[in-house]
Amino acid sequence: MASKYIALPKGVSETVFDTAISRFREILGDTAVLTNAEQLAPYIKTMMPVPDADHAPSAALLATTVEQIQKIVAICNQYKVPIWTISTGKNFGYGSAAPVERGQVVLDLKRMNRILEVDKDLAYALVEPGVTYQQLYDYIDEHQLGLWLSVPAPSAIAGPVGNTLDRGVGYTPYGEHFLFACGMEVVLANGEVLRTGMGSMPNSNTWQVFKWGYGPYLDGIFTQSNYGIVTKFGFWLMPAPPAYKPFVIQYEHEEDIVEIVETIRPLRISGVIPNAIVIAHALYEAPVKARRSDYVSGPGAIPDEAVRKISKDHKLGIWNVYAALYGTQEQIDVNWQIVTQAFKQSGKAKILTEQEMGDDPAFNYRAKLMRGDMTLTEFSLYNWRGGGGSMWFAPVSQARGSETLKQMALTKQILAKYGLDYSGEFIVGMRDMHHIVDVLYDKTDPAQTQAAYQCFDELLTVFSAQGYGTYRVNTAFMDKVAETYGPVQRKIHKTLKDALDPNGILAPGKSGIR
Amino acid sequence: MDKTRRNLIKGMLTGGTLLALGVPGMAPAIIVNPVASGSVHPSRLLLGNTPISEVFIKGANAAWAAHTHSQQGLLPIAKLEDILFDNPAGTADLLRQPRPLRWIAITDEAHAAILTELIRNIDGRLLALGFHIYSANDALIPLRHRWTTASPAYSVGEKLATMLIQNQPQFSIVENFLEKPVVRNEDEALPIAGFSAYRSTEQDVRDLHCAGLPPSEANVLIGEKTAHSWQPRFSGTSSGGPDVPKLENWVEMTSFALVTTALGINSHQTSCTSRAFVCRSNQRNLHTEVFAGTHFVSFIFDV
Ligand SMILES: Cc1cc2nc3c(=O)[nH]c(=O)nc-3n(C[C@H](O)[C@H](O)[C@H](O)COP(=O)(O)OP(=O)(O)OC[C@H]3O[C@@H](n4cnc5c(N)ncnc54)[C@H](O)[C@@H]3O)c2cc1C
Repeated sequence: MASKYIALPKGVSETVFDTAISRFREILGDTAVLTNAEQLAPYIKTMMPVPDADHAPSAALLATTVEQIQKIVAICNQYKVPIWTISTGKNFGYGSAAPVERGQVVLDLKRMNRILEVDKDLAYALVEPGVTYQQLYDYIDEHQLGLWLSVPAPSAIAGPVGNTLDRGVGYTPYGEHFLFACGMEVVLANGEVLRTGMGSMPNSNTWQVFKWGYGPYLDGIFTQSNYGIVTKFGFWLMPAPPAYKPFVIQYEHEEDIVEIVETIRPLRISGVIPNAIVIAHALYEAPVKARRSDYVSGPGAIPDEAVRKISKDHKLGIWNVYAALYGTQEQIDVNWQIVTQAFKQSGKAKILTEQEMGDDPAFNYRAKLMRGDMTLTEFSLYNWRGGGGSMWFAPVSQARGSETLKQMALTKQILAKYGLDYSGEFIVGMRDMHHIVDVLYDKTDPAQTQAAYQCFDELLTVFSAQGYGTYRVNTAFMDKVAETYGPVQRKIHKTLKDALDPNGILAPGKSGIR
Repeated sequence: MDKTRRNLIKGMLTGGTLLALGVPGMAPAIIVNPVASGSVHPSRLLLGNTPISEVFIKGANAAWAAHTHSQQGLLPIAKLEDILFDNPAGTADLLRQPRPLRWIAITDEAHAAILTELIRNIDGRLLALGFHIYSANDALIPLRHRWTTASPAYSVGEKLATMLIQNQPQFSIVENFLEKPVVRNEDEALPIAGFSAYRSTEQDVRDLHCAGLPPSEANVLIGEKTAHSWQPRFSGTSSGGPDVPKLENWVEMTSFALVTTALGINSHQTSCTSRAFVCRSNQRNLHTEVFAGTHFVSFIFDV
């Protein structure tokens, strides 16, 4: 007999699931409990090189209140139904809105989207999980609060809660998002509601201004984890600076990454360049301006010669350093002198400002991101190869020139072995660099899909063998990455899981924790 | 500007849609013709920024003309251009009104990722999502269609396969159906002209239609990891080709098949969880060069 569900949670019979679903309906109403294929289809599409069916949810629940979530977890405990929580659900390249394991119920908090508070003077916001960056941006604009957001490249459609909980990044001086998080409200698996930090104290008015509270600091354990469902989230906003000067510095050779990183590190650590900078390879920027098929056809990674031609044709460096200065005009003038002096020394850098770049589309979207504006231009990456396959490979590197060169060369070599291009960038970086590589492949081509899987697997194996850890990964490879951090960390993660969620109802499998 | 078009744009303006789109200098979405009503779903074509839009419209109009009454006019069209990058919220507003409406959309991959999410955001129903790619020298089977559809009712593959086999030497179509169907009798569907049919019932029910190659090879070409035991399904001679107007190339054929399905005109239902059509024969003449290196994504969704 055909099942009425497109998937079932692991170990849960259809009869038991029927009961759980009717209980969910009692709480949320019929229209907020999605079980039919047409409604669930948008939750299923992922870009990973595994069948989408492996990550198909059994249902999606659209909760709007904390009380509803408390009741949902009670039902999940009773029937051993696992839930996968998403806030805005735009985790493209890391698993999108789909659960880590087939059959998990998606708890979609998109309708829980109230902006609870934005304090102009103390420059913070308290929001619910469904709030998008666009919503907040419009709110700040409408109320003329003079505050800036820091957003990831999917800006408008993503949101601060999901992004920060996955330890995502943006490009302003507040770009390392979790550094600027301050206070969470979390529904625990037993239904209790915890407010972290100062939020635990009744009548406290310092929840969003002092992170640490008293005793062990807990916020971190609710990021990249499955220990709770975050229902409110506080974070700091940047006062809009009186002046802003974005710029790009172009270099012509891949080896120049050494000089770039050595030059930029002291400027970043001393705060002369305050923002989360980007050192983007030509192939990361090229999709904004060109298509791969304009330059190469046939199998294999794109040759260096073609990359050089692309950068020449489209006024890109092989490396493109995007950074910005913020403050009063006087501050900017002083810092600009320091920056230009440092970069001019070797004679290799081409320093270009907003005036020189004009309406260059790559520069424009980077300039928008560095001031927390909305733009989705970076999605052009998906047109580079076509076929809808993408995974972020995200190892962490020291902010040391020799290390970044080594990581780049190693990544490029492994990608090339599988016929894939190096679309990479180094970002954030004071003492570290997030090395972010979009492993783009054609998911309609079975051979390339298999190659992409093997390639990603090899990247993780080789990098971890050299001591390079990955900071974030897609849901198909979470166990593998968890393994690379060793048995003791895994055991601690599991101990915490067993203590906080003994029935394993919250996102089992997230970050390899069950 | 004709009166209908002017009124519709005016309607959109007063309804706030264009205002909501509100990005200076941005090409607004243009509705060319009124929405049809009657026997087929009220539908609109939504064109993202792909280079094949004009060709796609030809196929879509051919399907519309073949399946609707003449008084229903042409298939209404909304053009998105780059709106999705600049103003996704405005696009969501555009999709939401008027409702209920069935949208048939094509976009590039970048916009497709965003559109899929907008459909989820506005509580839309995604009936079929297809990836279509012609990659000149890159693969064993250069022309590939990969669909995920909510159920076999939104299957496009069979109609498309019957058209493509007449002028494409190598192609594959893979369809995954999310809803598990009720398995019916062996003779539920007719044989498809030019293909030999096979079924595997090992785990789920899977159908495979091969032209010019054995199922074991087709199995590999569509990326099946397990070597299924494929049982032949139909004996006897197959039925003739489909009754469709003359179409020039695979893009037109794809749009014809897609719009036909979207309008609710689905010839045969099937009771499998996935099915594939794989054709590999080098004897036929082609018109593929023009679309070498082309890729786009198609959607059928209800709002
Ligand atoms: C072109 C492109 C560029 C990108 N650039 C960036 C970038 O610059 N920086 C960056 O960080 N990312 C980037 N991404 C990746 C990703 O799209 C973003 O990180 C995005 O912000 C994540 O989606 P979201 O904000 O909707 O979070 P969600 O998808 O809602 O959440 C992410 C994860 O956090 C957990 N989670 C979410 N909500 C909760 C909750 N309430 N309680 C407990 N756990 C929860 C879940 O595990 C979930 O999968 C990019 C993607 C693309 C396609």
